[in-house]
Amino acid sequence: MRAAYAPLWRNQAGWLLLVPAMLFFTLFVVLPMGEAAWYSLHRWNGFGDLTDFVGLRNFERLLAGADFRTAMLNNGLVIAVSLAVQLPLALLLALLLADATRANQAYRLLFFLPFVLADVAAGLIWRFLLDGDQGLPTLMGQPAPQWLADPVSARVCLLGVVVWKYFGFHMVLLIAALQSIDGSLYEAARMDAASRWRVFRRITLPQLAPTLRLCVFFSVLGALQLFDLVMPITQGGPSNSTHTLVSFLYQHGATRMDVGFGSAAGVLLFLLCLGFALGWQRWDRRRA
Amino acid sequence: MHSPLPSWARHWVLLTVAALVLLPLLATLFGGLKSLGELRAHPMALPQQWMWSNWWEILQGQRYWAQMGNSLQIALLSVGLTVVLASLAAFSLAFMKLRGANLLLGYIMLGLMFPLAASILPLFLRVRDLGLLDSAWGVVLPQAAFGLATAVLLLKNAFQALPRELLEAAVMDACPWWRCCWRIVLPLARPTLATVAVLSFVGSWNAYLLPLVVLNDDKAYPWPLGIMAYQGEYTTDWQLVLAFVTLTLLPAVLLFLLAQRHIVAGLTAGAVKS
Repeated sequence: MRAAYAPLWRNQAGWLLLVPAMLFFTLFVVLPMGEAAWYSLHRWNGFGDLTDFVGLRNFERLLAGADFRTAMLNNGLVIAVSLAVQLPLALLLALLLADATRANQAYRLLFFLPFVLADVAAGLIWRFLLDGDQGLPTLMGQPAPQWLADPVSARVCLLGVVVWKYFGFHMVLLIAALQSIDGSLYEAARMDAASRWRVFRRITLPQLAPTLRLCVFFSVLGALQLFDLVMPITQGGPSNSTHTLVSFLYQHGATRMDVGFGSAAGVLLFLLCLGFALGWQRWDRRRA
Repeated sequence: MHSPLPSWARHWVLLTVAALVLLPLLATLFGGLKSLGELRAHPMALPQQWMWSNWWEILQGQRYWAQMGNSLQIALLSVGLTVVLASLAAFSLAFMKLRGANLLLGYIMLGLMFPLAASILPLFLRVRDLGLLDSAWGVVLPQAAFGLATAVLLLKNAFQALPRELLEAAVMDACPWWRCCWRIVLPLARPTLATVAVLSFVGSWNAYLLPLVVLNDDKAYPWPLGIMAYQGEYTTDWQLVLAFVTLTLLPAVLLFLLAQRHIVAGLTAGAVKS
């Protein structure tokens, strides 16, 4: 963002141009979040007046429930896998594909493809592949293992699909960053006959740091909001073991119209996202 | 130059990842062209008998086209609304005298941190109270509102990066703001407008949660909802589900391959420029 940019026009029309966007934004983004906070303090099915004020009871119920805690744990696992597996994989591939040869460009395109596919469609594809009746497990002999019917393996499957779906996005970001590194840095290193590892540690990694931090940002925020992949693959099952915050919210809030309880989950999600975003910003500023 | 691996290992890694990406997609493509019996017996092989009838059945039915039409309608309306609202706001924030402009910009930038899922229930109630359940607008209005933050940010930065002398000359010639906007600023910012359009189109085309909550009538379903409903009805006929998945993904994949440069730029621009 640019700080000082002297205005070119000084009439009042500026306000007029802003009004529609502000109106929309307030009506559909800001107010609903405030409403969610207000509803979360009530028991309400979405019809009639809000009369049944219950204070923080919804939050207590939420945090005491085993299913919700499992959902939070799953979000945590997605974050962990995104940072510990997906990001290193994306970095490795970015390093392998940094030079813009034809073959490399074909690889990049291919690796970016899963990210372009809609989550729901990718999820259905994997639902088929992981299905014990006709997918990959049938290649392992009969009776085929039912991966999606077991809480632990279903979770592993889901995490694998998350990596498959999103690694390409981070790879592309990192490739762009690699290409913008000033080549003269490497010239200097070559003059000093520095080893590859040293060059990577002393030049490449520090130059990539802002982008890597950005990848962390997107991984965590994306992981906290994971929903579209869960529905086609497991729908939160078996026995509620693969829910995420949002699929839990959807199931309890929207399908059962338990607006107060669902909104409490929404408020927690919002606070987690906000808290992370603010913390990340401080971290990023200090490092930059 | 950056490769940390010797050449043979590099090829091995790349080929493995390529296979992991490609095989599920090929299994889907070919699976949709098999009979159910063959799919169950050989899920990963090429079809022995190519069942194009799976495809024709879907393409001749109304359902597929209705869903694609709904998706297209919702996406185009979302793109239009986002681009218009964001351009006006960005133009104002970039060039007009506004008291507290930074505060206003900060307010809209809040949108970058608001997850749609967190307020999905109040959004549902709002759309219901506006009488827009089961209509395209019920999806379009919230979608456009949530797209504003990124769009305004990208456009404002692009506007201010335009050559200032040009705009100042126009102002000297007493060019009113609206003509400057329409004749100079918007045409010059076309690449960023395209980026914003791609971002909001792809976001809308692939969206699932919001339509899921707002649309109950299956006649209004965009394709992600339709495909899930289809899978629910034909649970065991995976050959048909895979054919349906293939046919819904094909346009998107073709479009991606044709316009990959813009799409990759669009999908990563929101990331890099913030």
